[in-house]
Amino acid sequence: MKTIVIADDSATARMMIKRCLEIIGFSEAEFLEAVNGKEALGLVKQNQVNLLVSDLNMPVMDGETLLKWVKASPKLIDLPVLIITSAGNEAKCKQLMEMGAFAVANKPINPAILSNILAPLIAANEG
Amino acid sequence: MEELHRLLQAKVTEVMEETLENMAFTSVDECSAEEIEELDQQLMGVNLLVTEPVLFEMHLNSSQELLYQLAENMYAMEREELDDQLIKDLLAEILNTVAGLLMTAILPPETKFALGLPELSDEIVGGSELVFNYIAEDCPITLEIKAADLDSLQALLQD
Repeated sequence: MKTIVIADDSATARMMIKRCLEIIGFSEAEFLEAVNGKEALGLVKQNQVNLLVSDLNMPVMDGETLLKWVKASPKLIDLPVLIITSAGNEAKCKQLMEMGAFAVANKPINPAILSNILAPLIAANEG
Repeated sequence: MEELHRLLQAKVTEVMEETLENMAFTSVDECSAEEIEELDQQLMGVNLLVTEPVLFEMHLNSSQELLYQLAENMYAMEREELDDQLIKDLLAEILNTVAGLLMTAILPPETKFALGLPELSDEIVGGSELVFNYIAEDCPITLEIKAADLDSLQALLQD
């Protein structure tokens, strides 16, 4: 069983991300949802999480700060972090990748985009 | 102002199409303000500030009926199962996505931009000349852009 944390202040966005992940091969995964970076950080610390999917623009703690905390933690440093945002372009994407993001995708997402990005993880999930 | 409207029109249409198509398999068509008025539907509004590289505000008004139709498709739920909070959240996420796509379409790839969080609003579109009207599923949806410094916005588009 894989565990995936989805952090986004929008319930609509969380639903869309979850549905896309289920379609591309994570239908058996356990999904944990957070409405901001702080909640997500709590979830990844308390659970054995295999993938963290996060928005950037969130109240309380944004996705960039969440990524910094995850990559600064020796226990969490290897956790793949996928950023899905409406506020990303080439410059922002480059910055987030340098900070340790696994990948960055722009909203609106669809299963094809996520499937491409997460191909290595999907292969591992099926293996 | 007409030049700025013309420059933005194609890009706004493109991002509205991409957003609604991806989120809910719904197509949109440009229409006039008169057509929007004739439809006479109850509207809901949301605002979002773009804070970098220039300060301006986007305001989205959507018919409540359209939001319910989109939510029924997206959540595969009956109308009576959908609550107000879900509908408001959907409206906010549509504007959030439209704003990001529009900034990506307008700006050079190396220029960073920053968006605020969407805030629901009772304001009705119409205070600006940068209004872009659409019809989706026979329902109105309108994007308005307001900026104190329209010259800076126009300069971005012409770069």
